[in-house]
Amino acid sequence: MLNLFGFNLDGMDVDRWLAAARLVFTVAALLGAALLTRGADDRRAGRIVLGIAATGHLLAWFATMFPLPSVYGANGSMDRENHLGWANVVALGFSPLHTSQVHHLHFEPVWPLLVALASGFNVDRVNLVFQWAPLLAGLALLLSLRSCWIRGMEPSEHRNVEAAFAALGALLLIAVPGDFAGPFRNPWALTFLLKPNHALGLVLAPFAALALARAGTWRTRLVAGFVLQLVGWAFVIHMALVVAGFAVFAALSWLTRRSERMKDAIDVGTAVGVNLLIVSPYLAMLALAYPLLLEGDASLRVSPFSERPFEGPLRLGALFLLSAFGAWSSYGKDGRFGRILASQWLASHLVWQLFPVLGLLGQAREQDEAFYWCRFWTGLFAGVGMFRAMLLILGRIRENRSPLAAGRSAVAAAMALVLLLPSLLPAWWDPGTMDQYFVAARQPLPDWIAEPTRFVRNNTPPDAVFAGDRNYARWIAAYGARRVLISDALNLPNDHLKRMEVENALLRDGPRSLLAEGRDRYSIQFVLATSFPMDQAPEITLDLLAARAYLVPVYDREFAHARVMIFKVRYEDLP
Amino acid sequence: MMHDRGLGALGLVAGQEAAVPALRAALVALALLAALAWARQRPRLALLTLSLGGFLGLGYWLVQISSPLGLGTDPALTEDWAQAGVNAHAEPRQGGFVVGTEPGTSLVSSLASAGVPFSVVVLVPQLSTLLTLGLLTVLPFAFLKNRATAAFAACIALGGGLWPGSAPFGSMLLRPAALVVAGALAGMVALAARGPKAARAFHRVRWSVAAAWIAGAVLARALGGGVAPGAAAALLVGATIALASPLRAALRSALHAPVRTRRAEALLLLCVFCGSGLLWWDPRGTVAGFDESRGDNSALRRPLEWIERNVPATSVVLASPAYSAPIAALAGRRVLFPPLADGAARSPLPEPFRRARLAETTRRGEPVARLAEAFSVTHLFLGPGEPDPPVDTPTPESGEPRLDLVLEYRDAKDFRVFRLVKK
Repeated sequence: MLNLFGFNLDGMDVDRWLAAARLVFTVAALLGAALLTRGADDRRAGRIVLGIAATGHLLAWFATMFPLPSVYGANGSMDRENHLGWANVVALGFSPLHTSQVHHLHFEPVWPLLVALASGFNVDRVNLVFQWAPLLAGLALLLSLRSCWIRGMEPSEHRNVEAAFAALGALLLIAVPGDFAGPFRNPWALTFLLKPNHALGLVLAPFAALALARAGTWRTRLVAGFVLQLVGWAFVIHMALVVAGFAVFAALSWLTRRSERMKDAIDVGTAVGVNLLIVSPYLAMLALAYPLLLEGDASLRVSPFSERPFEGPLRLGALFLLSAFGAWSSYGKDGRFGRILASQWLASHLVWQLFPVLGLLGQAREQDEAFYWCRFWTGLFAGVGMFRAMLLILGRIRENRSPLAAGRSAVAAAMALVLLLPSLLPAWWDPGTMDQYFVAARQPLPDWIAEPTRFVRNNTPPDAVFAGDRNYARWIAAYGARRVLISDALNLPNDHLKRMEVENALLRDGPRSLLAEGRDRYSIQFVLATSFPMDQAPEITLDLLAARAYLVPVYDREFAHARVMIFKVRYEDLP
Repeated sequence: MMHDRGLGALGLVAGQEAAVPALRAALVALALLAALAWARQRPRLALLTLSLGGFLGLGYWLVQISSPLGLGTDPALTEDWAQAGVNAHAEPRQGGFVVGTEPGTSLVSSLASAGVPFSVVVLVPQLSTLLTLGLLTVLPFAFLKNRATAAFAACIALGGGLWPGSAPFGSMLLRPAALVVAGALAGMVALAARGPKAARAFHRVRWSVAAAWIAGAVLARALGGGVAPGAAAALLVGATIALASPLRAALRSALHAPVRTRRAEALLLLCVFCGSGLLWWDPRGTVAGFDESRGDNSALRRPLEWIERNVPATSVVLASPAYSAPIAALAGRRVLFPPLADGAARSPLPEPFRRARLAETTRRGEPVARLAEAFSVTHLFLGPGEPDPPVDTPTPESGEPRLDLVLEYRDAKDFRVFRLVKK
């Protein structure tokens, strides 16, 4: 069994492998701390801290990815399989505006396009792009935060170290060891490893904040709106959350800063307005393609007695308090950019507190994303808060002798690093026991999924569209790289009733006109069904389908778990 | 030896899903009260309130355990419980739970050997976890002169320490003996720290000591992995205690006014207690075997109770490996085969071929008398799906004396116990 790096995994001791990665990080971080105590200027200390953060992310990513025979999340995560399907169809040359459900408008069109571009529009390279994207997204976040922090904050003698701690915190304090047992699991794994497109939103968010911080003229306000809409295209929920943060910034400014409040309000209003204007085609796509305001499932309801309100902030324990200190101090002394970032911190927690109310209305959507957003800002300011707390302690302790005072920034950084070390993700990350997607992806794909989808990939034309088993549809897209009519794993398209009619006609020998519509409107060429009853047509068996004159079996295999058949639709007799 | 009925009823109530948010809300409320007490200069009241919260938070989960934790799910714990059951009830006391083997040593088996009733021994993991809570409460007072600082450190340690997700309770539940080790080490260090010179030396290097403990904890966690921090948790508690005094000093120095300092400390206590582990502790997902230990498995308990009452303490029961551990642990009788069929037992099995022959001939309904006597096997235990041995089989031509099998117990779930009798 080979992994995607081309190494043989047979006989690999995964526990030791993961322990080695943790050990290497711990030793690297301790060495880094030791190096800092030897004295370093702000710039060098910042580089050391940032290097430790980058090493940590790289080690955690490599430790997780190396033992996997397939892409992370395969064989277990519906989200990952949907993303694979989306990217596959774009890599095949289809429009990035559509999902793997044929002609279904997309709600995250940028990511599949980026993946297809990175793969060179070669569907066989899509898995590799998914493999490397988490590493790149994490490193990009480090650079983005550091760069924005240094450019945006008021000049200070500790700016580089603070920027490095902000980046380290945002990336490696986003999760704590107990998260895997919680309802939203590990934010680092579920954001960077599973949904690097969402991580792209995190990478862009500091730029949006920086653009607003620099806004002052109509031109710079337009630029701020333009940058903000980029966040929207990367991940629209992050755009909404950034806007919420801007609103809090404007509100706080209105309440506390008489001299600047009008300017802040105009800046925010213009940037958000421009953003909405630019991103409006996308928002229209969302409104057209998705039944957004329909009553959702039970998971959209949150009991007023649930522990959700204090779950967001308090699961982090003392780190939450440090983050509050970091945000508070940034608001007070770091200029406009600091106030904007601190407002984002506050807004993320306020938004989280809204969910019980939304839950009462049955509209508590995307709780996980709001939770991760909350963690992102909390982690970011926890890193900054810890460093500033150490600076404060060093500055106030009477025994603080001159040699220490000379390199106070570096010594404070070393102390902060050691104190944060037990909470930094690469020091405790054990996906073998903490990550169900890792465990699932360690197993080979079941044969009744792997073999038929290999057949689909190798023996059907790239423009083929499959109907039939809606549950199997996501695997057709993810592993077979073909489009489908309806997938249980995706939102229903707005024309779902028509699709269901066509599908019904295909399965139940319906009117020829509907079959023709399936051909002309949806390009259906194949039907895939298994021995499991289909939810939409439980009485339709494989033998019944085989007896249809217009369905020609092209694949029929009995596996231990299920029988899988693929039929080619014959349109010869149709008008 | 069966789980106490009162605790069982409490466990049933606690086992309901809706009770978890209620518990957490209660713990947050207690943490708020404690923070309020701290802010009003009532450190002992704060500590008492958090101790109550800790007791409630742990007790909620611990009362749900109704069968020995790890029995059948963790190979090492399974052997420990099997040995403890045999030490408590079987004769002779010496010897392993698998007849003819050396006994394994563990805290629970030692307690059972010492005459502690098995009904108490099965509670040892729960008791050690609760005692850990007690240790965390008193330990800081042994190290720190300032009572308020000691109370502050104890309040933080009760929640699980300064670092989120590092509470030691899960580790203690799985390895109760660790409490003895941790207690002994803490006692030694506390005694050493009593001397004024040692105290002064500690004061000088407390940051370094804390840093060393943190580094040790991270290294231990890196090497150990898993979801329960084990030794790392103990080291982080040590670091928490070492940092308590400088932390308070730093807050005093930064905030100047005593009132503001107390409020900041109260806020820290609140956040730590609500975040560091105890409040969010959910052993269903973090303690291997916890879920299994919540079911009382009454179907299997009935035949085991029958064995405990009717099979002599000196007898050995022949059963398939799947039932070896429950028979030894819960019925207190030795067995012929170890619980694991994959060779992962702690020590090699003596005379494997003779055992296999006895099992095979018994399965055919004609156990060899000589072998049964040699191993003291008097009963055969069969579970659902295991075929009955044939009855009234003629003695084979070799003329070796054979025994008959007489059915003595059968229930609706198809558990059966046969006695081996002379023809």
